[in-house]
Amino acid sequence: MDRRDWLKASALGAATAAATRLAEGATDGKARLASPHRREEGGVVWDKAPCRFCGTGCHVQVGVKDGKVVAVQGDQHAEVNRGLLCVKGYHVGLALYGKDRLTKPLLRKGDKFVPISWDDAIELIARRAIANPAGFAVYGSGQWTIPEGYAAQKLIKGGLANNQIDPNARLCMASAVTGFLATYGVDEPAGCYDDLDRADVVILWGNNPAEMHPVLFSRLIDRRSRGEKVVLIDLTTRHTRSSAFADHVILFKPNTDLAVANGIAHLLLARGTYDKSFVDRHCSFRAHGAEPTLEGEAISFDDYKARMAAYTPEKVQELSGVSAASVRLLADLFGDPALRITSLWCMGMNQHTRGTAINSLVHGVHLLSGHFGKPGDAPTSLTGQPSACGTVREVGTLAHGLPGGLVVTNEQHRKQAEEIWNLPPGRINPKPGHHTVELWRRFSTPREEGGDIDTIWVQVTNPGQSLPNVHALIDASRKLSDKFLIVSDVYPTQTVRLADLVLPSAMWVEKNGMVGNSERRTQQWFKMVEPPGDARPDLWQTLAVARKLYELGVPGMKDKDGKFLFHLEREGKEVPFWEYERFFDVNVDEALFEEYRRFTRAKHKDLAPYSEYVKARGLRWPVVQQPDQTWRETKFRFAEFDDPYVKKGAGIEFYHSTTRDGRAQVWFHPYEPPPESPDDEYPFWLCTGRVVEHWHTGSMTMRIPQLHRAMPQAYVEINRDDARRLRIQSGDIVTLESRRGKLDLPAWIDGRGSPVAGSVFVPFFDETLLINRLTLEAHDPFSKQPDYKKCAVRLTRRAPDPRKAR
Amino acid sequence: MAPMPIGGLVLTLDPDPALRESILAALTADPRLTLGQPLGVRLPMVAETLTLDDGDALVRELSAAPGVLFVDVVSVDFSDREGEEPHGQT
Repeated sequence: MDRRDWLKASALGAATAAATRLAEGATDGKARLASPHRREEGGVVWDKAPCRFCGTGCHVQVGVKDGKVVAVQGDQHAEVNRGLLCVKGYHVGLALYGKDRLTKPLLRKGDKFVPISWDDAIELIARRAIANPAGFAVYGSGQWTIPEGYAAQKLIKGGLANNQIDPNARLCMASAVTGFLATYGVDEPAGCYDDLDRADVVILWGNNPAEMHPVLFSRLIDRRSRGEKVVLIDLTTRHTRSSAFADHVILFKPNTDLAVANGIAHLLLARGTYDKSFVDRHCSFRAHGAEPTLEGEAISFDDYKARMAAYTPEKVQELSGVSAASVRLLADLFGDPALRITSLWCMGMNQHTRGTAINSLVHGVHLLSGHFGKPGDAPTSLTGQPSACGTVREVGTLAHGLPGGLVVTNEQHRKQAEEIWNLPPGRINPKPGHHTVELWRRFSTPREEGGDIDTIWVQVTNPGQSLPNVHALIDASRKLSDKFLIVSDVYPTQTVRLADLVLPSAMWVEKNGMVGNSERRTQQWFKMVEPPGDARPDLWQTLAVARKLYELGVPGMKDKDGKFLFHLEREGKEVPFWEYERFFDVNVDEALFEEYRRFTRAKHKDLAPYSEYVKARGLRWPVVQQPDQTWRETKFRFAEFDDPYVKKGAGIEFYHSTTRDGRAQVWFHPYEPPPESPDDEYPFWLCTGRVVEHWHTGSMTMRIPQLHRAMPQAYVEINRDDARRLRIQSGDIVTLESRRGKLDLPAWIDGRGSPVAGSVFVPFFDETLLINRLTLEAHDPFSKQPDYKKCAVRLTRRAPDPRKAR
Repeated sequence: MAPMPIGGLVLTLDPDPALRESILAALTADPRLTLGQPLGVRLPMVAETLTLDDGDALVRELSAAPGVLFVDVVSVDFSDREGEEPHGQT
C-alpha cells in the first residue's frame, strides 16, 4: 500500500467509524477512556486536542508531520462530537499557518513598530507595573487556557493585589453567570449535551446553533433521521439557518423575550399546570426590592402569581408581537409533564441590558413547570469560546472573582485563597476591579478626569474589534500619551495595530493547554509543534513578567515565606521556568492545575488530577473519586441519581441555594423597554452576531483561505420589504449610522438570514468593516455585559452594487 | 496521480428507497468519491479533490443533492496540498 492509499484507507476508516456511531446514536461509553496516547501511522504522528474555536468542545485528532500540522480528524472517542467536525473545525489546523504570524516582540516608535528582545519587552512591562501598580490591568479571554488564566489571575489578585483583570467573556456570557447565581447560588448549567439526545422539545431562545454550534445542532437534528421525534422551536428576532429546521418559528420584537417568558409563567399559574409538587419542595420566589440586588428579596408564591397576572397572552402579544396562540403553545408544552424540554441560549439572552433578568426567567419557567433534573429537561446556556467556562467562570478571572467560584468581596473566600497561595493575611484586595466596559473607559479617559488605568496587557483577544462603541472605549486611549497598550497575539489584529508593545504568542497545539467547555467538561492537550520564530506561550509571558517583578523587588511577588509567588520545585530544587529554554523542563500546566484544583472543592466543582485529563477526552465536573480510586464525572447536577453531592432521598437538591435551604429561586422580573429604541431619526434596530464560517473577530478564520473565500466580508441583512421601500438591492452599498458612528456595507436581501421588517443584522467578524463603531455600550446592571443585539440605526442607499457598475 | 487533499465524509441519505437508489448510483459514478459500506442511511466515503476549495465545493454540492439529508466531514488531510498559500486578513 503506498502512502496515498494509506491516507484514503485512513479517511474511510474514520468515516466508517463515525457512520457507525451516528447509526447507533451514541458513543461507546468506554471509548472515552480508551488510550489517547500519541500514535504514529504512515509517517504522521497523531494526538488528541480540543478544537481551538468555539465553546462546544469538540475533540480533534491532530496529525503532525515534519513539525507541521498536516491533518485533522474528528475524534472518534470524543463524546461531544462523535468523530464529526464543523466547517471551522476541519480547517482548524490551517489557523496556525497564516503568512503574517507575529514572530518578534515589537515596540512602537512613532508610527512604526521596531523589533526588540524578549528580555527588553518583559522588563518594559515590569517597569510599567512598578511605576503604577494600581493602574496596571490585564484583559484576557475565554480563549486563555486554564493555566494561562490562572497564572494571570494569581499575578493580579495575589501579587499586584489590585484586582484589575477582566476577560472578554464579560462580553459574551456574564449574564448567564449572574442568571445561574441568582437562581441556584452557583454558576454553570446543571445539565449537559446528553440532554440533546433525550429532549422531546428543544427551544432556542434567541440562539442560532446551526451556525454557532453546528456540531451540537447536527447531533440534535440527526435524531430525526433516526426516526425520533424532536420538536424544535425557534424564538428569534430574525430567520436564521436554525429557523429552517424549526417546527415553529416564533418572531419577537427585540428585548421582549422577558414578556414571552412571563407569558408562559402566567399561563402555567393561571391554568394550574405548573408542577406544584416540584415547586413546594424545591423553589422559593424572588423579586427586586427598592434597591435591586442579585440576591433580591423573598416574595410569596401568591405575590409572584399576582405579579405575573398582567402577562396574559394578549398583553404579551401587544408587547412582543408574538401571537397569543404562540404563547399558549409554549405554555402547553411546558405544562405537559410527559415531555422533556431543553432550552438553549447564548448571546441573544446574554448580550442584553436585561440579561440577568431573562436568564433568571427562563430558569424560572423550567423550575415552575418541573422541567428540570431529568435527562432532556434542562435550561442550558451555551458559550462561544473554548474556555469561557473553564478559564473565566471556573478559574474566576472576572474582576470580582477568585478561583473555584470564590469572590474577593467575601472575607472567608479571600482567606481560603490566601491559604492556598500561601500569602500573608490581607494580601487580597476586597474591592473588585473594573468590569470590561469600565476598564476600557478608564483607559480611554485622561488620568486627571478619573482615568485611573494607564496600562492594559491584552492576551488572547481582540478588543479593538470586539468592544462595543469601540471608538470611545479604545481608540480614544491612543491620543493619551501616558496610556500604554500591550498586546499578546498571534496575528496583527485590529488591537495589535493600536498597541504600544506587541508580543508574539504561541497558539493551540504550539503549547500545552487545558480548557473547559459549555457542559462543564475540562479538556487537556499537549504541545505538538513549535511556534514560529520567537513566538512564545502566553503562560510563559505572564510568568516571566512575574519573575521580573520579583527580581526587581516587588513585595507582592513573594509569598509569606519570601518565596516567588509561582515557586516550583522538583527534587528539592527550584525550577527556573521563567527562562524560556527551561520552560518545558517541567509541565508547568500540570503544576498550576494541581494548585488550582484545590480551590474547586469549595463550590463542589471538583476537578480530578491532571493525569486523568491526559487519559480522557474531557471530564465533566464535579469529578469525584470513587471507593475503587477511579474518578467519576457528573452529567446532571443537583439530581440525586447522578450528583454525588445531593443528599440521599432528596431527589433534587440545590446545595448552594442562596436561601441555604436547598431551594432554587424563581424570579419575577417585569418587561421594561430597552435603553435605546428606533425612533424617527434612527428608525431601524441593529443586531450584530456571527456566521458559521468565521470565529468571532475572524483573526484566525479570515486567514484560512477556504473560509475567507466562503465568506470574505461583512454585509448588512435587510428585510425585503424595507429594501424595496428604500430602493435597495442586494450588493448595493448602504450607509448604516447610529448615534455613535457610521459604516458603509453591501446589502444582502434574503441571504444567510432574514431580519424582520424594521431591523437589520451585521456580522462582526470583518476588521475592515468595524460594526462595533456603531454599537451601544449600555450594559446589564448585574453582569455588566453590554448589549450588542439592539441599538437604533438609520439606513441610506449610498451607491449601487459596484459589481453591476463594471 | 498528482497530490490532492483527501477528506473522509459521512452522508446521511433519505430513507426513501427510490431516492436512495438514485443518489447511490450518482455517487458511485463520481470519480472523486470512493464509497464505503452503507450503515443504514449512513454512507461513509472518501473524497479526493484537486484543492481544498474544490473539496468545500464538493461538500456543498453533495449537501444540495436530492436524496442527501446531511453531509458530515470527519477528516481532512492537507499534507499534499500545493499552491494554496494561506494569507493575512488584510
